[in-house]
Amino acid sequence: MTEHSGTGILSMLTGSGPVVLAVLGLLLIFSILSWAIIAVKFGAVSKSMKESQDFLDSFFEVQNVDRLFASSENFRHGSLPRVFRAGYIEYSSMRDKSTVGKLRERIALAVKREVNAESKRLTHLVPFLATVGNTAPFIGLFGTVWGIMSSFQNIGLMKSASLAAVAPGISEALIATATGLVAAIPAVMGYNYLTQKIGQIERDLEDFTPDFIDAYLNQ
Amino acid sequence: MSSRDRLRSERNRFLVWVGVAAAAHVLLAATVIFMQSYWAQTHPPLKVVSVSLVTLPGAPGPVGGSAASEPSPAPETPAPKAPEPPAVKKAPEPAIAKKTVPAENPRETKKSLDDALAKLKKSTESKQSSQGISSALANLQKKVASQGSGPAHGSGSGGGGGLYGQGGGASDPYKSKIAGIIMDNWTFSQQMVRNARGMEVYVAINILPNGTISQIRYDRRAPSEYLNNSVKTALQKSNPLPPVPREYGSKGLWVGFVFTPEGIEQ
Repeated sequence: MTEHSGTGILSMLTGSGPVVLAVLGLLLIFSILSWAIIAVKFGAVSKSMKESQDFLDSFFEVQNVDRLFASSENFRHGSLPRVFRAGYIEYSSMRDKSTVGKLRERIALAVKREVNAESKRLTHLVPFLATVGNTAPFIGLFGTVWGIMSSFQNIGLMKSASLAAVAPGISEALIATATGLVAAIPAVMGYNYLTQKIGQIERDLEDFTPDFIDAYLNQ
Repeated sequence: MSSRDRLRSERNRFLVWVGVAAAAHVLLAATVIFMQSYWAQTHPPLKVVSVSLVTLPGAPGPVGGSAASEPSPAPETPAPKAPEPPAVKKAPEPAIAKKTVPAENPRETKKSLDDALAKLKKSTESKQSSQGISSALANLQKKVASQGSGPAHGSGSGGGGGLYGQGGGASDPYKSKIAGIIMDNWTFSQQMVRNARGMEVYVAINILPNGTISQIRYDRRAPSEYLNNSVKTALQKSNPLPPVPREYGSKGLWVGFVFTPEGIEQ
């Protein structure tokens, strides 16, 4: 059964008012930035996890920290190799100058500082995804409310409650809501995925830093 | 690599991804718009065929049991008109002319009401008498149709041609049946239409031999989109219809309906 409909996205956009267009533009920018953040962070987190895993394999195989430091140069994007290098630099600069207790304290401090820096680097821009996920539907809803307001105005002006008077405003309203959801859904999904993966990396950092410190001191 | 260089490289990478995401959005929007226009091209709007609306007097009677109910609207429509004047007049009376003629007015209105009812009776009687003529004309139409006037889509000579009003409601059991089915599936509230007068939707449907509605053509739309959409919904709900009898051929059948707030006419 075929029936022709004369409405399209382009005609709906051209028929929209300035407020709805502004809402759509804002949501478009949100969507573009969300996808860019998701892409950048997905790449960074994946690379960090992979290189951390490879470094851990070589950490358990090679017991010499000097050789481990040399091999960690191959894993520049991994979080664990970075933390290891920070601890090693502190250890190598202080190993002949202070006692074991003092050395342990200094290395622990350096490692903790690097863990915090890594955590900050990994979570950078991720909260924006949560912001988009939370606010985009409401911004779309604002467009909906505006569209319904204009449709009610049309009803008043045309003195008719027919579909012809109401439908354009409703379609404006619906396109704003749809765009809000289109921006929000990937942002929420990306945020949940990234926070889960970043949390996993942070737990790995907490778990293995004592092992690193022991490895330096047992050298 | 210092932390400043690392931040700079991360920022550059982010900007590159922003560009990629913007390009992807533009591409997606262009694809959606292209697909819509492609869909509109592959499914062009159906041509509007002007159909002669000249019908034989009284020939296109309502279908599917509504034949008996057709005379009932006739007395119904004037009936509200008759009681209206007293209702309207009663309200201003006490305010404007309380002492002028308090008792005469109700009598006058009663008289006028009786006169109106008498006129109405006369007119209905004359209509009933004209039904004899209409039945004769219906028989005439049958004869013309049986002489091989061709498919329903053909140009009809005189009043019986075209899709609408041909064949009469009661004479064609299949059409009566499908009209009944569509009527059952038609949900329409007269309150949604401001002015019911002139609200007519002329729709032609193409029914395949298996009963599937393959095409809906609006030959004339009503000013109310609500009525137009209710017609479309009713046809969609009724799909598929009962299979077309063999006597109509194997190419399918075009049937025209006129939807009015009062009901469906064929």
